[in-house]
Amino acid sequence: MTTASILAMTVTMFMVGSLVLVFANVQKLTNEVEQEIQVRVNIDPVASEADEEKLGEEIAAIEFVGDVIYRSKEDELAEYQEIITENFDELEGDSNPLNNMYLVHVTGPQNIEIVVDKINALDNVLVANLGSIDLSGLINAIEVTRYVLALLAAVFVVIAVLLISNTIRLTIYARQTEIEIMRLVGAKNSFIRAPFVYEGATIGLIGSAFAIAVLYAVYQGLQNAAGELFAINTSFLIPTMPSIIFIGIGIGVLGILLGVMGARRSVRKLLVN
Amino acid sequence: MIQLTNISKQYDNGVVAVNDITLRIEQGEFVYIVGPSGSGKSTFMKLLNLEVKATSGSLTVDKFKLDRIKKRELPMLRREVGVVFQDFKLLPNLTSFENIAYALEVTGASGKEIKKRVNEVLHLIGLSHKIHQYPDELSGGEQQRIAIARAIANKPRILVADEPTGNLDPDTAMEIMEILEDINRMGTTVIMGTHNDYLVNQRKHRVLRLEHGRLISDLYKGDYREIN
Repeated sequence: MTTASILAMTVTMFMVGSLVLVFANVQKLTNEVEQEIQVRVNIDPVASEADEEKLGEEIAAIEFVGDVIYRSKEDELAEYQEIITENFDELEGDSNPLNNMYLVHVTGPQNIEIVVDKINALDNVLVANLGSIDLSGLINAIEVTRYVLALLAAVFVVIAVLLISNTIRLTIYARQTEIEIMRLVGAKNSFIRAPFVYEGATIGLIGSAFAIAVLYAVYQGLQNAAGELFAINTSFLIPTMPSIIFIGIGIGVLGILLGVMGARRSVRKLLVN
Repeated sequence: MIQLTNISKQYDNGVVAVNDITLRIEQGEFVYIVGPSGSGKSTFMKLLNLEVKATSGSLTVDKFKLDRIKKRELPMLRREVGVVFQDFKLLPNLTSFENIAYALEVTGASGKEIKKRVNEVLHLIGLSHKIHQYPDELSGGEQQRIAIARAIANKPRILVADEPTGNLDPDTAMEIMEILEDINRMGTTVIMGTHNDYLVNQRKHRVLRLEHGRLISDLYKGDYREIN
Protein backbone atom coordinates (compact mmCIF):
# COMPACT_ATOMS: atom_id res chain seq x y z
CA MET A 1 0.00 0.00 0.00
CA THR A 2 2.87 2.33 0.75
CA THR A 3 4.22 1.44 -2.69
CA ALA A 4 1.00 2.72 -4.17
CA SER A 5 1.37 5.97 -2.27
CA ILE A 6 4.96 6.45 -3.38
CA LEU A 7 3.98 5.68 -6.96
CA ALA A 8 1.15 8.20 -6.87
CA MET A 9 3.47 10.78 -5.38
CA THR A 10 6.17 10.09 -8.01
CA VAL A 11 3.72 10.40 -10.88
CA THR A 12 2.16 13.63 -9.72
CA MET A 13 5.48 15.21 -8.75
CA PHE A 14 6.84 14.24 -12.17
CA MET A 15 3.86 15.96 -13.78
CA VAL A 16 4.42 19.08 -11.70
CA GLY A 17 8.16 19.05 -12.41
CA SER A 18 7.79 18.63 -16.14
CA LEU A 19 5.14 21.33 -16.23
CA VAL A 20 7.55 23.68 -14.48
CA LEU A 21 10.26 22.83 -17.01
CA VAL A 22 7.94 23.37 -19.96
CA PHE A 23 6.72 26.62 -18.49
CA ALA A 24 10.25 27.85 -17.85
CA ASN A 25 11.36 26.98 -21.35
CA VAL A 26 8.38 28.76 -22.89
CA GLN A 27 9.21 31.78 -20.75
CA LYS A 28 12.78 31.74 -21.95
CA LEU A 29 11.79 31.45 -25.60
CA THR A 30 9.19 34.16 -25.45
CA ASN A 31 11.65 36.45 -23.75
CA GLU A 32 14.16 35.86 -26.48
CA VAL A 33 11.56 36.46 -29.16
CA GLU A 34 10.53 39.64 -27.46
CA GLN A 35 14.09 40.89 -27.44
CA GLU A 36 14.27 40.44 -31.14
CA ILE A 37 11.32 42.68 -31.70
CA GLN A 38 12.46 45.91 -33.03
CA VAL A 39 10.79 48.90 -34.47
CA ARG A 40 12.62 50.18 -37.50
CA VAL A 41 12.46 53.95 -37.71
CA ASN A 42 13.33 55.39 -41.10
CA ILE A 43 14.65 58.92 -40.59
CA ASP A 44 13.63 61.68 -42.98
CA PRO A 45 16.59 62.15 -45.37
CA VAL A 46 16.40 65.93 -45.08
CA ALA A 47 17.01 65.82 -41.31
CA SER A 48 20.25 67.35 -40.07
CA GLU A 49 22.61 65.64 -37.68
CA ALA A 50 21.26 67.75 -34.85
CA ASP A 51 17.70 66.80 -35.82
CA GLU A 52 18.69 63.13 -35.87
CA GLU A 53 20.21 63.39 -32.41
CA LYS A 54 17.13 65.15 -31.07
CA LEU A 55 14.94 62.46 -32.60
CA GLY A 56 17.02 59.77 -30.94
CA GLU A 57 16.51 61.37 -27.55
CA GLU A 58 12.79 61.83 -28.13
CA ILE A 59 12.42 58.18 -29.04
CA ALA A 60 14.39 57.05 -26.03
CA ALA A 61 12.08 59.10 -23.82
CA ILE A 62 8.99 57.20 -24.94
CA GLU A 63 7.58 54.75 -22.45
CA PHE A 64 8.39 51.06 -23.05
CA VAL A 65 11.37 51.91 -25.25
CA GLY A 66 14.57 50.02 -24.42
CA ASP A 67 17.69 50.37 -26.50
CA VAL A 68 17.82 52.84 -29.35
CA ILE A 69 20.52 51.98 -31.86
CA TYR A 70 21.58 54.24 -34.70
CA ARG A 71 22.22 52.61 -38.06
CA SER A 72 23.52 54.81 -40.83
CA LYS A 73 22.52 54.08 -44.42
CA GLU A 74 26.07 53.05 -45.19
CA ASP A 75 26.00 50.47 -42.40
CA GLU A 76 22.63 49.25 -43.60
CA LEU A 77 23.95 48.84 -47.08
CA ALA A 78 26.89 46.91 -45.75
CA GLU A 79 24.50 44.62 -43.89
CA TYR A 80 22.58 43.89 -47.03
CA GLN A 81 25.80 43.28 -48.92
CA GLU A 82 26.61 40.53 -46.55
CA ILE A 83 23.32 38.84 -47.23
CA ILE A 84 23.04 39.45 -50.93
CA THR A 85 26.32 39.04 -52.78
CA GLU A 86 25.28 40.89 -55.91
CA ASN A 87 27.14 43.95 -56.77
CA PHE A 88 25.77 46.80 -54.72
CA ASP A 89 28.63 49.12 -55.61
CA GLU A 90 26.41 51.24 -57.78
CA LEU A 91 24.23 52.03 -54.79
CA GLU A 92 26.94 53.45 -52.66
CA GLY A 93 27.28 57.08 -51.86
CA ASP A 94 24.50 59.34 -53.11
CA SER A 95 22.77 56.49 -54.91
CA ASN A 96 22.12 54.71 -51.63
CA PRO A 97 18.33 54.40 -51.49
CA LEU A 98 18.33 53.44 -47.87
CA ASN A 99 17.70 55.77 -44.97
CA ASN A 100 19.51 56.36 -41.76
CA MET A 101 17.70 54.36 -39.13
CA TYR A 102 17.08 53.97 -35.53
CA LEU A 103 16.57 50.39 -34.36
CA VAL A 104 14.34 50.60 -31.33
CA HIS A 105 13.83 47.80 -28.83
CA VAL A 106 10.39 47.71 -27.24
CA THR A 107 9.77 46.06 -23.89
CA GLY A 108 6.61 43.99 -23.96
CA PRO A 109 5.07 42.90 -27.23
CA GLN A 110 1.73 44.34 -26.29
CA ASN A 111 3.20 47.85 -26.29
CA ILE A 112 4.55 47.85 -29.81
CA GLU A 113 1.58 49.45 -31.49
CA ILE A 114 1.56 52.32 -29.03
CA VAL A 115 5.25 52.96 -29.47
CA VAL A 116 5.06 52.83 -33.26
CA ASP A 117 2.22 55.33 -33.23
CA LYS A 118 4.09 57.69 -30.95
CA ILE A 119 7.24 57.51 -33.01
CA ASN A 120 5.35 58.18 -36.23
CA ALA A 121 4.00 61.32 -34.64
CA LEU A 122 7.50 62.73 -34.09
CA ASP A 123 9.24 65.17 -36.44
CA ASN A 124 11.81 63.91 -38.94
CA VAL A 125 10.38 60.44 -38.99
CA LEU A 126 9.76 59.09 -42.46
CA VAL A 127 8.05 55.95 -41.31
CA ALA A 128 8.31 53.55 -38.39
CA ASN A 129 7.32 49.98 -38.77
CA LEU A 130 8.06 46.49 -37.66
CA GLY A 131 9.86 45.44 -40.71
CA SER A 132 8.61 42.68 -42.90
CA ILE A 133 7.76 40.18 -40.23
CA ASP A 134 4.29 40.41 -38.80
CA LEU A 135 4.83 39.32 -35.27
CA SER A 136 1.43 40.13 -33.87
CA GLY A 137 0.14 36.65 -34.69
CA LEU A 138 3.08 35.00 -32.96
CA ILE A 139 2.77 37.28 -29.94
CA ASN A 140 -0.87 36.38 -29.56
CA ALA A 141 -0.05 32.71 -29.78
CA ILE A 142 2.55 33.08 -27.03
CA GLU A 143 0.12 34.83 -24.70
CA VAL A 144 -2.49 32.16 -25.24
CA THR A 145 0.05 29.41 -24.61
CA ARG A 146 1.04 31.02 -21.33
CA TYR A 147 -2.54 31.12 -20.11
CA VAL A 148 -3.19 27.55 -21.19
CA LEU A 149 -0.09 26.34 -19.36
CA ALA A 150 -1.01 28.24 -16.22
CA LEU A 151 -4.46 26.68 -16.32
CA LEU A 152 -2.98 23.22 -16.85
CA ALA A 153 -0.66 23.78 -13.92
CA ALA A 154 -3.56 24.70 -11.67
CA VAL A 155 -5.50 21.63 -12.76
CA PHE A 156 -2.48 19.39 -12.24
CA VAL A 157 -1.92 20.65 -8.73
CA VAL A 158 -5.54 19.99 -7.81
CA ILE A 159 -5.34 16.49 -9.28
CA ALA A 160 -2.08 15.92 -7.44
CA VAL A 161 -3.52 16.91 -4.08
CA LEU A 162 -6.58 14.71 -4.55
CA LEU A 163 -4.62 11.74 -5.85
CA ILE A 164 -2.06 11.79 -3.10
CA SER A 165 -4.63 12.49 -0.42
CA ASN A 166 -6.78 9.56 -1.46
CA THR A 167 -3.92 7.13 -1.88
CA ILE A 168 -2.57 7.92 1.55
CA ARG A 169 -6.05 7.68 2.99
CA LEU A 170 -6.43 4.16 1.62
CA THR A 171 -3.12 3.22 3.20
CA ILE A 172 -4.18 4.51 6.57
CA TYR A 173 -7.71 3.10 6.48
CA ALA A 174 -6.16 -0.28 6.01
CA ARG A 175 -4.51 0.18 9.38
CA GLN A 176 -7.67 1.17 11.15
CA THR A 177 -7.40 -1.74 13.57
CA GLU A 178 -3.96 -0.58 14.57
CA ILE A 179 -5.21 2.87 15.35
CA GLU A 180 -8.14 1.48 17.32
CA ILE A 181 -5.80 -0.57 19.47
CA MET A 182 -3.62 2.45 20.10
CA ARG A 183 -6.61 4.39 21.32
CA LEU A 184 -7.81 1.60 23.58
CA VAL A 185 -4.40 1.40 25.17
CA GLY A 186 -4.68 5.07 26.09
CA ALA A 187 -2.64 6.86 23.44
CA LYS A 188 -3.33 10.54 22.86
CA ASN A 189 -4.36 11.55 19.35
CA SER A 190 -1.11 13.39 18.74
CA PHE A 191 0.85 10.30 19.74
CA ILE A 192 -1.07 8.16 17.27
CA ARG A 193 -0.85 10.73 14.50
CA ALA A 194 2.91 11.26 14.69
CA PRO A 195 4.21 8.08 13.00
CA PHE A 196 1.68 8.41 10.19
CA VAL A 197 2.69 12.00 9.56
CA TYR A 198 6.35 10.96 9.39
CA GLU A 199 5.33 8.27 6.94
CA GLY A 200 3.53 10.85 4.83
CA ALA A 201 6.58 13.09 4.79
CA THR A 202 8.81 10.17 3.83
CA ILE A 203 6.47 9.12 1.05
CA GLY A 204 6.59 12.68 -0.22
CA LEU A 205 10.36 12.78 -0.10
CA ILE A 206 10.92 9.43 -1.78
CA GLY A 207 8.27 10.08 -4.44
CA SER A 208 9.82 13.44 -5.24
CA ALA A 209 13.31 11.93 -5.36
CA PHE A 210 12.15 9.35 -7.92
CA ALA A 211 10.29 12.01 -9.86
CA ILE A 212 13.32 14.27 -10.09
CA ALA A 213 15.53 11.36 -11.15
CA VAL A 214 13.13 10.43 -13.95
CA LEU A 215 12.70 14.06 -14.95
CA TYR A 216 16.47 14.50 -15.17
CA ALA A 217 16.80 11.36 -17.26
CA VAL A 218 14.02 12.38 -19.63
CA TYR A 219 15.08 16.01 -20.05
CA GLN A 220 18.75 15.22 -20.49
CA GLY A 221 17.93 12.22 -22.64
CA LEU A 222 15.74 14.25 -24.96
CA GLN A 223 18.50 16.78 -25.45
CA ASN A 224 21.10 14.11 -26.11
CA ALA A 225 18.80 12.24 -28.50
CA ALA A 226 17.90 15.41 -30.36
CA GLY A 227 21.57 16.22 -30.75
CA GLU A 228 22.86 12.78 -31.66
CA LEU A 229 19.98 11.39 -33.68
CA PHE A 230 18.56 14.47 -35.34
CA ALA A 231 21.45 16.90 -35.09
CA ILE A 232 19.22 19.49 -33.51
CA ASN A 233 21.01 22.10 -31.49
CA THR A 234 19.16 22.21 -28.21
CA SER A 235 21.01 25.14 -26.69
CA PHE A 236 17.84 27.18 -26.97
CA LEU A 237 16.45 25.11 -24.10
CA ILE A 238 17.07 25.91 -20.46
CA PRO A 239 20.18 23.96 -19.46
CA THR A 240 19.53 20.90 -17.28
CA MET A 241 21.88 22.04 -14.52
CA PRO A 242 21.32 23.90 -12.27
CA SER A 243 17.60 24.28 -13.03
CA ILE A 244 16.88 20.65 -12.26
CA ILE A 245 18.34 21.12 -8.78
CA PHE A 246 16.04 24.03 -8.01
CA ILE A 247 13.06 22.17 -9.40
CA GLY A 248 14.14 19.15 -7.36
CA ILE A 249 14.19 21.14 -4.15
CA GLY A 250 10.85 22.70 -5.04
CA ILE A 251 9.01 19.47 -5.64
CA GLY A 252 10.79 17.90 -2.68
CA VAL A 253 9.25 20.50 -0.41
CA LEU A 254 5.91 20.21 -2.19
CA GLY A 255 5.99 16.42 -1.90
CA ILE A 256 6.68 16.50 1.82
CA LEU A 257 3.96 19.08 2.32
CA LEU A 258 1.39 17.07 0.39
CA GLY A 259 2.44 13.86 2.14
CA VAL A 260 2.08 15.41 5.57
CA MET A 261 -1.23 17.08 4.74
CA GLY A 262 -2.64 13.90 3.25
CA ALA A 263 -1.62 11.86 6.28
CA ARG A 264 -3.03 14.33 8.78
CA ARG A 265 -6.37 14.53 6.99
CA SER A 266 -6.73 10.78 6.83
CA VAL A 267 -5.77 10.09 10.43
CA ARG A 268 -8.07 12.83 11.65
CA LYS A 269 -11.01 11.09 10.02
CA LEU A 270 -10.20 7.93 11.96
CA LEU A 271 -9.64 9.71 15.24
CA VAL A 272 -13.06 11.34 15.30
CA ASN A 273 -14.66 10.17 18.51
CA MET B 1 -14.64 1.93 42.71
CA ILE B 2 -17.17 1.67 39.93
CA GLN B 3 -20.68 3.01 40.31
CA LEU B 4 -23.39 2.64 37.70
CA THR B 5 -26.71 4.40 38.29
CA ASN B 6 -29.58 3.78 35.86
CA ILE B 7 -27.16 3.22 33.06
CA SER B 8 -28.68 2.50 29.64
CA LYS B 9 -27.18 2.23 26.20
CA GLN B 10 -29.23 2.37 23.02
CA TYR B 11 -27.42 2.05 19.73
CA ASP B 12 -28.31 4.13 16.68
CA ASN B 13 -30.15 1.20 15.13
CA GLY B 14 -32.56 1.19 18.04
CA VAL B 15 -31.18 -1.82 19.89
CA VAL B 16 -31.16 -1.35 23.66
CA ALA B 17 -28.03 -3.20 24.69
CA VAL B 18 -27.93 -2.15 28.33
CA ASN B 19 -31.17 -1.41 30.14
CA ASP B 20 -31.27 0.58 33.36
CA ILE B 21 -28.47 -1.02 35.33
CA THR B 22 -27.53 0.11 38.80
CA LEU B 23 -24.67 -1.53 40.64
CA ARG B 24 -21.48 -0.87 42.53
CA ILE B 25 -18.12 -2.59 42.38
CA GLU B 26 -15.55 -1.86 45.05
CA GLN B 27 -11.83 -1.62 44.50
CA GLY B 28 -10.16 -5.00 44.62
CA GLU B 29 -13.19 -7.13 43.75
CA PHE B 30 -13.20 -9.95 41.22
CA VAL B 31 -16.45 -9.92 39.28
CA TYR B 32 -17.75 -12.24 36.57
CA ILE B 33 -20.20 -10.89 34.02
CA VAL B 34 -22.22 -13.77 32.59
CA GLY B 35 -25.20 -14.15 30.29
CA PRO B 36 -26.20 -15.46 26.90
CA SER B 37 -25.02 -13.88 23.64
CA GLY B 38 -26.68 -10.56 23.08
CA SER B 39 -27.30 -10.05 26.77
CA GLY B 40 -25.25 -6.89 26.79
CA LYS B 41 -22.02 -8.20 28.35
CA SER B 42 -19.71 -6.71 25.78
CA THR B 43 -21.50 -3.39 25.72
CA PHE B 44 -21.44 -3.28 29.53
CA MET B 45 -17.68 -3.71 29.55
CA LYS B 46 -17.16 -1.18 26.76
CA LEU B 47 -18.95 1.40 28.88
CA LEU B 48 -16.26 1.14 31.52
CA ASN B 49 -13.42 2.48 29.36
CA LEU B 50 -15.71 4.66 27.25
CA GLU B 51 -15.25 2.64 24.13
CA VAL B 52 -18.99 3.15 24.05
CA LYS B 53 -20.87 6.06 25.61
CA ALA B 54 -23.97 5.49 27.71
CA THR B 55 -27.16 7.11 26.42
CA SER B 56 -28.48 7.78 29.90
CA GLY B 57 -27.59 7.38 33.52
CA SER B 58 -24.42 8.19 35.38
CA LEU B 59 -21.25 6.16 35.52
CA THR B 60 -18.36 6.87 37.81
CA VAL B 61 -15.04 5.06 37.54
CA ASP B 62 -12.79 6.15 40.40
CA LYS B 63 -12.30 9.89 39.94
CA PHE B 64 -13.73 9.95 36.41
CA LYS B 65 -17.36 10.88 35.82
CA LEU B 66 -17.80 9.30 32.44
CA ASP B 67 -20.84 11.24 31.32
CA ARG B 68 -18.98 14.49 31.82
CA ILE B 69 -15.42 13.54 30.98
CA LYS B 70 -13.37 15.85 28.72
CA LYS B 71 -11.86 14.57 25.49
CA ARG B 72 -8.31 15.12 26.61
CA GLU B 73 -8.91 13.17 29.81
CA LEU B 74 -9.94 10.09 27.86
CA PRO B 75 -6.43 8.72 27.43
CA MET B 76 -6.01 9.08 31.21
CA LEU B 77 -9.10 6.97 31.81
CA ARG B 78 -7.83 4.35 29.41
CA ARG B 79 -4.63 4.06 31.41
CA GLU B 80 -6.56 3.54 34.64
CA VAL B 81 -8.78 0.89 33.09
CA GLY B 82 -6.73 -1.81 31.41
CA VAL B 83 -8.55 -3.92 28.82
CA VAL B 84 -8.00 -7.45 27.59
CA PHE B 85 -9.90 -8.75 24.56
CA GLN B 86 -10.94 -12.12 23.25
CA ASP B 87 -8.87 -11.58 20.09
CA PHE B 88 -5.83 -10.27 22.00
CA LYS B 89 -5.48 -7.15 19.82
CA LEU B 90 -1.71 -7.05 19.78
CA LEU B 91 0.02 -4.82 17.24
CA PRO B 92 1.22 -7.36 14.66
CA ASN B 93 4.41 -5.61 13.62
CA LEU B 94 5.76 -5.19 17.16
CA THR B 95 7.58 -7.73 19.32
CA SER B 96 6.28 -8.81 22.73
CA PHE B 97 8.52 -6.27 24.38
CA GLU B 98 7.44 -3.50 22.03
CA ASN B 99 3.75 -4.30 22.40
CA ILE B 100 3.92 -3.98 26.16
CA ALA B 101 6.24 -1.00 25.93
CA TYR B 102 3.72 0.78 23.70
CA ALA B 103 1.31 1.15 26.60
CA LEU B 104 4.10 2.82 28.57
CA GLU B 105 5.36 4.98 25.72
CA VAL B 106 2.00 6.66 25.35
CA THR B 107 2.39 8.00 28.89
CA GLY B 108 5.74 9.54 28.07
CA ALA B 109 7.78 7.24 30.30
CA SER B 110 11.55 7.23 29.84
CA GLY B 111 13.36 4.42 28.07
CA LYS B 112 14.85 3.20 31.30
CA GLU B 113 11.53 3.14 33.13
CA ILE B 114 9.91 1.35 30.24
CA LYS B 115 12.57 -1.34 30.08
CA LYS B 116 12.31 -1.95 33.81
CA ARG B 117 8.54 -2.21 33.90
CA VAL B 118 8.24 -4.36 30.76
CA ASN B 119 10.71 -6.88 32.14
CA GLU B 120 8.78 -6.83 35.41
CA VAL B 121 5.45 -7.75 33.87
CA LEU B 122 7.02 -10.23 31.45
CA HIS B 123 8.41 -12.00 34.47
CA LEU B 124 5.02 -11.88 36.15
CA ILE B 125 3.34 -13.67 33.27
CA GLY B 126 6.25 -16.03 32.74
CA LEU B 127 7.20 -15.03 29.22
CA SER B 128 10.60 -13.40 29.70
CA HIS B 129 12.06 -15.82 27.18
CA LYS B 130 9.71 -14.69 24.42
CA ILE B 131 10.64 -11.07 24.68
CA HIS B 132 11.59 -10.57 21.03
CA GLN B 133 8.96 -12.72 19.35
CA TYR B 134 6.26 -11.33 17.14
CA PRO B 135 2.58 -12.14 17.80
CA ASP B 136 2.41 -14.55 14.87
CA GLU B 137 5.22 -16.52 16.48
CA LEU B 138 3.32 -16.98 19.71
CA SER B 139 0.55 -19.40 20.69
CA GLY B 140 -2.90 -18.09 21.56
CA GLY B 141 -2.27 -18.44 25.26
CA GLU B 142 1.07 -16.64 25.01
CA GLN B 143 -0.49 -13.81 23.01
CA GLN B 144 -3.18 -13.38 25.60
CA ARG B 145 -0.59 -13.27 28.34
CA ILE B 146 1.29 -10.54 26.47
CA ALA B 147 -2.01 -8.71 26.10
CA ILE B 148 -2.62 -8.99 29.82
CA ALA B 149 0.92 -7.78 30.51
CA ARG B 150 0.23 -4.76 28.30
CA ALA B 151 -3.04 -4.12 30.08
CA ILE B 152 -1.39 -4.01 33.50
CA ALA B 153 1.82 -2.25 32.45
CA ASN B 154 0.56 1.10 33.64
CA LYS B 155 -0.59 -0.42 36.96
CA PRO B 156 -4.27 0.29 36.34
CA ARG B 157 -6.66 0.07 39.23
CA ILE B 158 -9.18 -1.80 37.11
CA LEU B 159 -8.75 -4.59 34.60
CA VAL B 160 -11.61 -5.37 32.22
CA ALA B 161 -11.39 -8.69 30.41
CA ASP B 162 -13.93 -9.41 27.67
CA GLU B 163 -13.97 -13.20 27.21
CA PRO B 164 -10.24 -13.52 27.68
CA THR B 165 -10.34 -17.30 27.46
CA GLY B 166 -12.75 -17.49 24.55
CA ASN B 167 -10.14 -18.51 21.97
CA LEU B 168 -8.14 -20.79 24.24
CA ASP B 169 -8.15 -24.46 25.15
CA PRO B 170 -9.22 -25.45 28.70
CA ASP B 171 -5.72 -25.82 30.13
CA THR B 172 -4.50 -22.53 28.75
CA ALA B 173 -7.75 -20.93 29.86
CA MET B 174 -7.01 -21.99 33.41
CA GLU B 175 -3.49 -20.54 33.19
CA ILE B 176 -4.95 -17.23 32.13
CA MET B 177 -7.46 -17.41 34.93
CA GLU B 178 -4.67 -17.90 37.43
CA ILE B 179 -2.81 -14.88 36.14
CA LEU B 180 -5.95 -12.79 36.43
CA GLU B 181 -6.47 -13.94 39.99
CA ASP B 182 -2.83 -13.14 40.78
CA ILE B 183 -3.38 -9.65 39.50
CA ASN B 184 -6.54 -9.39 41.53
CA ARG B 185 -4.75 -10.46 44.67
CA MET B 186 -2.33 -7.58 44.15
CA GLY B 187 -5.22 -5.16 44.52
CA THR B 188 -6.52 -4.64 40.98
CA THR B 189 -10.26 -4.84 40.41
CA VAL B 190 -10.91 -7.52 37.79
CA ILE B 191 -14.09 -7.60 35.76
CA MET B 192 -14.36 -10.59 33.48
CA GLY B 193 -17.05 -11.30 30.94
CA THR B 194 -17.26 -14.98 30.16
CA HIS B 195 -19.17 -17.93 28.72
CA ASN B 196 -16.95 -20.36 30.52
CA ASP B 197 -19.21 -22.01 33.07
CA TYR B 198 -16.43 -24.36 34.17
CA LEU B 199 -14.20 -21.51 35.27
CA VAL B 200 -17.02 -19.65 36.98
CA ASN B 201 -17.95 -22.70 38.97
CA GLN B 202 -14.36 -23.72 39.76
CA ARG B 203 -13.09 -20.32 40.78
CA LYS B 204 -15.93 -18.74 42.67
CA HIS B 205 -16.30 -14.99 42.71
CA ARG B 206 -19.10 -12.45 42.53
CA VAL B 207 -21.34 -13.15 39.53
CA LEU B 208 -23.35 -10.49 37.75
CA ARG B 209 -25.85 -12.02 35.35
CA LEU B 210 -27.21 -10.05 32.41
CA GLU B 211 -30.16 -10.88 30.18
CA HIS B 212 -31.53 -8.64 27.46
CA GLY B 213 -29.46 -5.83 28.87
CA ARG B 214 -30.86 -6.08 32.37
CA LEU B 215 -29.13 -7.14 35.55
CA ILE B 216 -31.12 -10.11 36.71
CA SER B 217 -28.82 -11.49 39.35
CA ASP B 218 -25.97 -10.42 41.59
CA LEU B 219 -24.51 -13.31 43.56
CA TYR B 220 -21.52 -13.37 45.83
CA LYS B 221 -19.51 -16.53 44.98
CA GLY B 222 -22.36 -17.73 42.79
CA ASP B 223 -22.57 -20.67 40.46
CA TYR B 224 -22.76 -20.06 36.69
CA ARG B 225 -26.45 -20.98 36.47
CA GLU B 226 -27.56 -19.64 39.80
CA ILE B 227 -29.97 -16.77 39.94
CA ASN B 228 -30.91 -15.02 43.15
